[in-house]
Amino acid sequence: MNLAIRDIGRSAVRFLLTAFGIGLLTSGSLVMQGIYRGIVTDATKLVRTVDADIWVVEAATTGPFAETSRVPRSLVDRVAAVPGVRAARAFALASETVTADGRRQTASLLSLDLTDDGGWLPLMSGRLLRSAGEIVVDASLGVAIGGAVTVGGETLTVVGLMEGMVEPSGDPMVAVAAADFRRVQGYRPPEAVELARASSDVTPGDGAALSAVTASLQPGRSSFAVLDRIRTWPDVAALTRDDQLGLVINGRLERLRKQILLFTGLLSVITAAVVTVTIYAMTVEKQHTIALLKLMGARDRVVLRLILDQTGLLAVSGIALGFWIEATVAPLFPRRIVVDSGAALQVSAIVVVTCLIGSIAGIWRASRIDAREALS
Amino acid sequence: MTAVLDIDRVSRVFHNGGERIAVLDGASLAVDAGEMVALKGPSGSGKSTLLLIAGALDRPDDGAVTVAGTRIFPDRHAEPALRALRRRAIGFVFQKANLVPFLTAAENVELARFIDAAPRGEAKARARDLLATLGLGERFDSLPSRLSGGEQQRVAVARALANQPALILADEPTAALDGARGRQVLELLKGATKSGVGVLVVTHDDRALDLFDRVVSIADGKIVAGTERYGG
Repeated sequence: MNLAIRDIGRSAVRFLLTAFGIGLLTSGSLVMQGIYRGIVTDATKLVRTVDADIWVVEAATTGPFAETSRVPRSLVDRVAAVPGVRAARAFALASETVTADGRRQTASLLSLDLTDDGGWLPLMSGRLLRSAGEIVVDASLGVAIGGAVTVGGETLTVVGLMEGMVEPSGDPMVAVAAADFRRVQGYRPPEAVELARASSDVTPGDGAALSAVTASLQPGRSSFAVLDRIRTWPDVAALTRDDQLGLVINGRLERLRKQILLFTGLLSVITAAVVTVTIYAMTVEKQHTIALLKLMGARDRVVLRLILDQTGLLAVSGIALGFWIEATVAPLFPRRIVVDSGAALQVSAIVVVTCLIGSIAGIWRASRIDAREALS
Repeated sequence: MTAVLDIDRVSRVFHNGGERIAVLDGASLAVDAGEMVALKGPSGSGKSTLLLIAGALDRPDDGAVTVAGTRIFPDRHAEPALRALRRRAIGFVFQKANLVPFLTAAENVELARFIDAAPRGEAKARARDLLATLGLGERFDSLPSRLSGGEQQRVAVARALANQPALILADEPTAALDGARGRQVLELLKGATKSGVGVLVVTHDDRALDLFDRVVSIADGKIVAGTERYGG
């Protein structure tokens, strides 16, 4: 006989409402965790997709993601010449306003050299770049293959769609040939050129600079030797793939992580408060029954189990409802929400622990109930 | 005859501010196995306190108390031991049935065996046997709210008997019932004495005193009469 389930059956509606409330709080925590993990996924997506062993960036910077970095195009050949380097690739990334189907929005423009067919891009449909005048876009831009995208005065034809290539801000990424990238970077509206000439304080850029040069190593070669060699060059800094990921996560996303952590903590405190009040109220409501159980000689564990079973059922129901609510509302968010098993376990553990903490009030109340109250 | 309850010259004093109130003053009372004893007395005479002490729910200040062969005072037992005694040797019946509202009639009776960790099947069978014996064979699955006052009190008697206790303590079990139903409940308790259970009933009800083996009167914390034998 499970006294907890019997008692819940008597006030099922109230129990479900409470579980729904915990479910809402749980879903809030899940969504916050999901947003954070989504941002981390987006922020590290490009680093992981490029999958370079070494990133060579401007000296004294932690670019090109954590801060701006500009290196000369000739650096590609210098890096390629280092013993142990299998291939060096130009990496250029810039934020640009693109116009597609009459809509203007910000996108990250990725440059692909002629020697780089972009085969490492997560292509969903269509094909890779074959010549200038073509563009591969993330599907979230909302343009179909064959559609036109205008960027920096250039109108490019969409030949391929990528999946999940978005910035942490939610902006889509687009990839163009290096020649188009340079033109876009060098483009200034005629009025701006005139003004620059008149004031003589701005020189229109030629778009020739890169953000970084990436290098992949020959199989079996140690990255330390290559890094040591490149680090002797005074004009650049060399970072490993893990350095780059660490800079993105710990540098760029540190504040966000703290915010999410604090918000999740706040939701946990609210959950604990709700559970505490609920379990306490449920215990007070059963005061007479608990007194009767004690009078009849029930062991403490019978009373304890009554409370803990109800707490456990509340936690499990709340978690289940929380996941259901999260799964229902997550698609409505305009950005990626990643609820992986780690996030699911973390949030579930937080709910279970807060529910157990909440049950302490009920257990304390039950311990103070005198068996003689059953006689009153 | 073996006494299932032996209260020997117990005293219980309460303090209300500076005032000392002797609720029990050297009261002695014994209930034998198979005997049903009524405890009568005016309000404030010490009946309820005596019942609490007999039920291992309160400790006297002086005297000796033995329940079902266990000397619970002046020997000191920890609360778990007293609970075990209540669980296994004492059945309680109250003025109100005091049934658990979210359990059916059968489950309320099972509860006594459940808290003693008896096997579910055995507890269930025992509960159904008792309810059938007490004329509630059709009400096994009824919640207390669906039972009449008399039926509830019969379920309470069945619950008190479920663990085959040595002693049943009943506090005004007929107070909330009409004469006929009250007598029916006392007859059930009387029936239980045939299996050797000792029953102590605190009552104001004079209409069924013929069912008791003895009527003990208490006044001002002292037992003033208790040798008269009425029925049995």
